Amino acid sequence: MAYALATERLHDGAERSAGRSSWKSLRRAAGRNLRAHAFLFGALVCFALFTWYPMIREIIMSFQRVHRGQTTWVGLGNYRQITADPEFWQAWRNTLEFTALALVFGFAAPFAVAIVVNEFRHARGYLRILVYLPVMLPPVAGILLFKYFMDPGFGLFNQALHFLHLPRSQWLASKSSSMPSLVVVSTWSNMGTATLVYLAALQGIPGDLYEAAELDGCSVLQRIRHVTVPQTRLILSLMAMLQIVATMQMFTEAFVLTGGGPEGSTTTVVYLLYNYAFSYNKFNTAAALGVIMLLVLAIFSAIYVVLERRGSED
Amino acid sequence: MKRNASRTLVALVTAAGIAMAGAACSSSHSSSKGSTGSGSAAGGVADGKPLDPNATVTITIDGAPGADQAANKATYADDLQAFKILYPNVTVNAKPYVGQIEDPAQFTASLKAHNETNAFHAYFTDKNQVLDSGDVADISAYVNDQTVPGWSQLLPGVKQNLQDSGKTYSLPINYYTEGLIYNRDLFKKAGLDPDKPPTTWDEVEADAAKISALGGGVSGYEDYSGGNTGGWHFAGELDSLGGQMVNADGTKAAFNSAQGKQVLQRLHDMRFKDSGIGPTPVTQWADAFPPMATGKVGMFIGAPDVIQHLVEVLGADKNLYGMGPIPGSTGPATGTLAGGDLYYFKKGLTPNQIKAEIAWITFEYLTPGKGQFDFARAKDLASSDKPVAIGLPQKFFWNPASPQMTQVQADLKTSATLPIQQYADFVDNPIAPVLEPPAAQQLYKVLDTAMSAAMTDANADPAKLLSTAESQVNSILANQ
Amino acid sequence: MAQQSFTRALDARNRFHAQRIKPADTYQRTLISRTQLNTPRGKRLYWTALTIALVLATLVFIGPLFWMATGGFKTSQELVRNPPVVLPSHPSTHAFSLAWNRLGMAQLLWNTVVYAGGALAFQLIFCVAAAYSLSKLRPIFGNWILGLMLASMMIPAAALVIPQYLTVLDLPLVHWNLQNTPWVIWLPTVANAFNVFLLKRFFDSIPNDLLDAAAVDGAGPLRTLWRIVLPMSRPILGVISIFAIVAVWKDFLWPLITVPAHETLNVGVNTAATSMPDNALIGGLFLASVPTIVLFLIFQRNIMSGLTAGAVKG
Repeated sequence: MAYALATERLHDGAERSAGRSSWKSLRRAAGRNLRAHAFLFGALVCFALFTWYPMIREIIMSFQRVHRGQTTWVGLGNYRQITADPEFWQAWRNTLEFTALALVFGFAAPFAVAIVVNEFRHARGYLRILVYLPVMLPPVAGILLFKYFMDPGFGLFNQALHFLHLPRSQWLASKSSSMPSLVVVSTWSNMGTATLVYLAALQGIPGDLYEAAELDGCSVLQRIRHVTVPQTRLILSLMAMLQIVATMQMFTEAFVLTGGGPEGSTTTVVYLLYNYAFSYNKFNTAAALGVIMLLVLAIFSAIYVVLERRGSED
Repeated sequence: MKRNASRTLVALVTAAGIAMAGAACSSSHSSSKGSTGSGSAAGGVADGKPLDPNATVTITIDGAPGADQAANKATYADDLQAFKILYPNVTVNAKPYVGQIEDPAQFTASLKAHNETNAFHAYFTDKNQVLDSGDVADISAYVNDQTVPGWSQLLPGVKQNLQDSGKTYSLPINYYTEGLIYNRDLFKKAGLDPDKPPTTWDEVEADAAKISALGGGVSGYEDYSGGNTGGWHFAGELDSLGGQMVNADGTKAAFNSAQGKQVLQRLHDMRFKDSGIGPTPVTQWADAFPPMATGKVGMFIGAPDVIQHLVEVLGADKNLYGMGPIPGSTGPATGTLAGGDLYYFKKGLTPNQIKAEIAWITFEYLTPGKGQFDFARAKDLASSDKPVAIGLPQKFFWNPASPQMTQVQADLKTSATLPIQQYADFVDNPIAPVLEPPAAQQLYKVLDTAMSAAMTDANADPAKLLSTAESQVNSILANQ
Repeated sequence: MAQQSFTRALDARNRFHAQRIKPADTYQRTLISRTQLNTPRGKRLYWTALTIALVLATLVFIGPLFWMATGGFKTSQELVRNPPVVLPSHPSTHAFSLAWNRLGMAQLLWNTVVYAGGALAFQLIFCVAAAYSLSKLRPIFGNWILGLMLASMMIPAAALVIPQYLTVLDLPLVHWNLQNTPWVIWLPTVANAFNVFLLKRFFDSIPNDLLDAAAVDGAGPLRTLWRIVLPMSRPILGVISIFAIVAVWKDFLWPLITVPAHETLNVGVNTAATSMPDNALIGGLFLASVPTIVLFLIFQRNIMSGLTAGAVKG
């Protein structure tokens, strides 16, 4: 980028020093810019219409209210309304629970699977296809399938647990097991992508590091801790952040499987947003909720960037 | 050079931001686009008289049966022809729908974009949303016994949904109250009399236990616990015991009462004490029906159109179900949930357009023997692989003694495909409908939690559940 | 003379391409060394582990699909039997035909293909053009525009759903209503800062002398893009394409509220889920999964290499 700028300035500088041709060079620069902006135009319009404009509109909407066709400004009224709703706090608790569980299981699982698969010399292609297969299903198909598996009465999971003489679970039917059940569904459906990404990253680790570690007397687990993890640190932290941002916006599983229950234990923030807009018909309060969500995730992303920068400086 | 550029840039970005903000503000003030009618020069007069048969009017309406309802689509077209004979110069452009007649996102979108048809469909429960949009016209001056025969005979439970602050805004096309739907077969198998459904909640509990004892995945009773439907049924069951959801002026919760506790305790006992309710929770509205269609559920609180769904969509045996009134504490309930569909009239229509819409809607939906009440015709179109459920005890808009209801009942006796005598208990014990509380959907969502806890948590304490819900609801109502 | 320098540019492009070809795979040791695995004990452990992994993976990832496939042939009673029935006693295809009709599968598939295809086309056109412009043509304010686009990556998609929805119902200035048209799916996908960022980084890595050589011959920016830059960009274009299609395929909330009359496969399966008996639903889920699984099995090599390429470059 600096190279490009430098060459440009050199060209412009050379032409300017020619005196009269400065007007020509300006016109040429304007023509060049116009062409460049023409290429940019389509994407710019889409960004403006579907990202920047809605963003501003949402912020403005969150300070207004509509009644009988009239729009009025209500200051922080919508924010007060949403924070006074106990569902709001429960939704954040639920969402954080899902995100945390998904981080522990849905993040560790693909990495562990990748490490194991990376060791095999045979059937690697087969295993990679297997693990990625659920990702190719239409999400609702996978999710509805689990509805049958997790039925507390006749579901296959409980039958299997019973067969293995393990205690049965209520799965989606009880408030304590509902979120973990959704994590299971979500992990099954989505771990394929992460596993493949980690597999690719693992293949980039130079073998001599492992050689050195083994010579130093490290056990397998120590080797993982001291070689594998540091070498893939960048991709691990990136995937972790992407996963956290994605899981904080979970909606489909809760919508299709549990309707926000039981006892409101699977109502996530986005589900609440949907409810406010389409069930309670309170679009402005939904906008306030959207702004709050944006702030929380922006703060989180900022923390991540700061930590990342500090980490890489070490 | 660079500093100048950044200053210019800041100015530009600020300007762009202000421009976008201006666009954001202005679009929320955009006026509703009403269509102008191609009527006669004057456009008609609001004189309370029916439409002049010679008037030339063009109107649009939605909710016409689409390609997935072949029989209904054909009869609708026939009715349009018949209407054309009455009003030769009136053109009705009917917009068809496929699947659900009202999808929440579509409906909300049409209100926001102000592109509804001249007369547009809505549910009873949409009233606040529709009035808030500012898109509807006051038709009080147009409706009377002349223009809408039977207007004065409409049940008060129906009328209260058509009006707001003394003004009339809509005409009804569907109306139902909830009752107890039960599986006669399972009743017989459990040794219960299929002609005598339970009328008190004690009886429901006992009967459910007997039916569940049959085993094989059969449960005696099922109820909702999620998707806002749990709270909705809680409200109905509370009403059946004479309780109330909110106080008189709608500012505080009133369900944390003896009746409220009874509802939850009853469901809890049915689930955990005598296993009358099965272990699989029902979290969405439509999830209740497949087990009912396959004969796995003994009893369910629902509207008559549930039977229609079971017979027509899920292929259940049409002779399987009976219907009784919602049980109460010592006999049938004192209040029940009701619902229905109606047509609103868009603001900006000419008087002749409004009259034409009223004429068509009355012809198709509110005339016994014609339109949706032409049972003989519907029966002719039924076939073995396309069952039609005729004889459901709903759309009974009028007083039982009125000429309209008398004709409807007579027609049903001749043309019903369903065993209407199995619904006699329900029909003979009409129960007054109760209005929905304010912010109904939000309240129902809060009570979903209580219903769900009662039916999934063995240690649930109804008193605690209700007091938690009460404080939550008070908080919501205070911040409306 | 012009022909010569253009050929030179093409040669340079080919050399650039060759650089990107990876050297033949040499043995690189991983966590556990080959020598360890060659011991009898190591061999036993390896093969046991491999067998367990294969059995487990097949059970976990193929099991549900197998159950889905056979479920459609069973009756509703057989589906929910305890202990479970593995194969139906009287297999019948009635459930599948019922599901096909009730779901309107053909229409759902077509809708989804149209949405995904259009989204891909629009992204390839506009995102590539924008990235090319920002990377090579360097318009004024280019960095600021890029900054705004990248900033939009911090905005969680779900937070913007409500104002985006209101915007597409009544576009500013033109007052069009896009609901139930394919544009409402196609256009917002162009506002994808991640893809623009990936493309720009890739284009940045293309040396400028190639483009200068073409410019000297009088090739305009469009010709340069088409003839020189794009052919080199196949790997990144592949990655972008996969992301684009998968994003439309997996989306649930947005098509649920914006195209309810022309549903995608995902939304359609959810809507129709309760209007048919259980065995028809399972059969329907299987029918909905078949197209993508078949496509995946056919193109799996390309998809896998595309993903790993993305991971390595990421």
